[in-house]
Amino acid sequence: MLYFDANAMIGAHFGPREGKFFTATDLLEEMDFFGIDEALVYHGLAREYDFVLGNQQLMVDIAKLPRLHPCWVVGFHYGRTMPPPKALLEDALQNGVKAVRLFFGSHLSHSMVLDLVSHQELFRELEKHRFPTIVEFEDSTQLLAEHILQLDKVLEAFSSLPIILSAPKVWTELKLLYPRMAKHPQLYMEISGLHGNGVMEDLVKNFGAQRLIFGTRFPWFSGGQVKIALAYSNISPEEKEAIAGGNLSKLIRGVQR
Amino acid sequence: MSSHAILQKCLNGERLSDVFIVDIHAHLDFWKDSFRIKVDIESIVADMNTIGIDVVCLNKWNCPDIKSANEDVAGVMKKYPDKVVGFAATAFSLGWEDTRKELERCFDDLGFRGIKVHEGYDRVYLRDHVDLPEYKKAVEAVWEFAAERKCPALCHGLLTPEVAKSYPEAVFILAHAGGSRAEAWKYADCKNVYFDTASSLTLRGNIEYLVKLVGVERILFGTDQPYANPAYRLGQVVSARLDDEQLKKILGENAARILHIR
Repeated sequence: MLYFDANAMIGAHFGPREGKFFTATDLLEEMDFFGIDEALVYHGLAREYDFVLGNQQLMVDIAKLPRLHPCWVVGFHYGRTMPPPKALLEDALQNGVKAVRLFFGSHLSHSMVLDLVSHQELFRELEKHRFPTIVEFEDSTQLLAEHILQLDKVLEAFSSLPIILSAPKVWTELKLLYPRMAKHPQLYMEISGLHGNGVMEDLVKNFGAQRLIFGTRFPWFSGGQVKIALAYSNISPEEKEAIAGGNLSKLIRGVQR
Repeated sequence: MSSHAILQKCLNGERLSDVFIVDIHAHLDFWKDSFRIKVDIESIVADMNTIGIDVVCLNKWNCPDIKSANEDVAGVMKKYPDKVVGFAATAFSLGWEDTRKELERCFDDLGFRGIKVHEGYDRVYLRDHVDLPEYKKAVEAVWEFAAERKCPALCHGLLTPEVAKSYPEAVFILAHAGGSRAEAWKYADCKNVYFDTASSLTLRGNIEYLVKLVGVERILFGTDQPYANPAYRLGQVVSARLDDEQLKKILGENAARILHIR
């Protein structure tokens, strides 16, 4: 069974141990220890400081490491913080980038706000290429409500864009996502935050295993805990295989140049 | 077994039939925000069987009154005498005399072995009221009882290092301690304080940090089921870079010692 981690980060970052720098070698050691085959990786510098510098550093750090696949952190391009979306996507495709990641609601990660008008151009380009788009929301319940309402608009406007919600963890977020999962087949959920009892099985029952994506949240969380939760879950081996890596591989294969 | 045989079995989803496992922190109810997918004792026992958890320490506190909650726990203790250990829930608004009487009833008549202390019982957060004389006396009655019986008191809030040092005969368990290095650090030199791992915030490296800080003998496996997925919580512990002998202590041997079972 292929285990493909959709949520791993390398580089400098805030917490859990401030200043600790996790390298690609650290990540590979963790993957070997827990039997994880491949990972989509983003760089802490891109999340917490500068998109372009961080994404460039990522490409240097994981060059010649075929088990690690680049995932660029992207966001607003206004104020020249990023290249315009069309140029960005051309660059990403040329560099073999497999997915992009957007963080919303955290001052640690560019204080991004999910807003259809501001991101319309970016989402249009991403949809054109069917580019897997990983979205992570900060935990604050009040912000969540705003973000989810905006997410509805994005899902409506770009119905062919595969969106993976990264690590939904608080109960409110999960409850809000149920009706969205039911309504939008292009919406996927990454499972590293699903510590609620029976939630994985319930999601599979309601939406099918093809909508769930394996992820670890390295380096904050161990590579083993989600793999173990999946191993013990009361779903079929085929469903586990799809969640472990099949679904993410399929989304990556679906990128249109 | 090899030094990481427990981890390998868990990664394969195999039942840990050759490791004695005690879940020190579990409930017979649900958290107000949590899903209600698995909340009954049969679901809890089914999960225990899947994973290989031998004993679960249960308490119940979300209910109209604390006495009937404790009786519900006593009911499942009767049904599963080898699997369930009761932890008596406390409600300080009963007043100190009735708080003590309820603990006596739970231990002497119903066979409980531990106490669950939560700052949120009675629908008020006691940390805001704990200095009121009537509450203070009731809370102290619990500490005194724990010291007299030398029984574990699983504490979510209300415990302080000063309290732990004032009642050296009692065994205190700091709930959710695996999730907070700073909180654990405050209790490092309180030899009668143990640390449970039941936390969604147990970051990579936290268990190893606790082991270095207080030693492996003072760490207890807990899940917070049925709110939390016990397999996920097991994964947090067995993924720590520890050998199997250390993991066995955390998973069950330490709890067996303080509960006087096995």
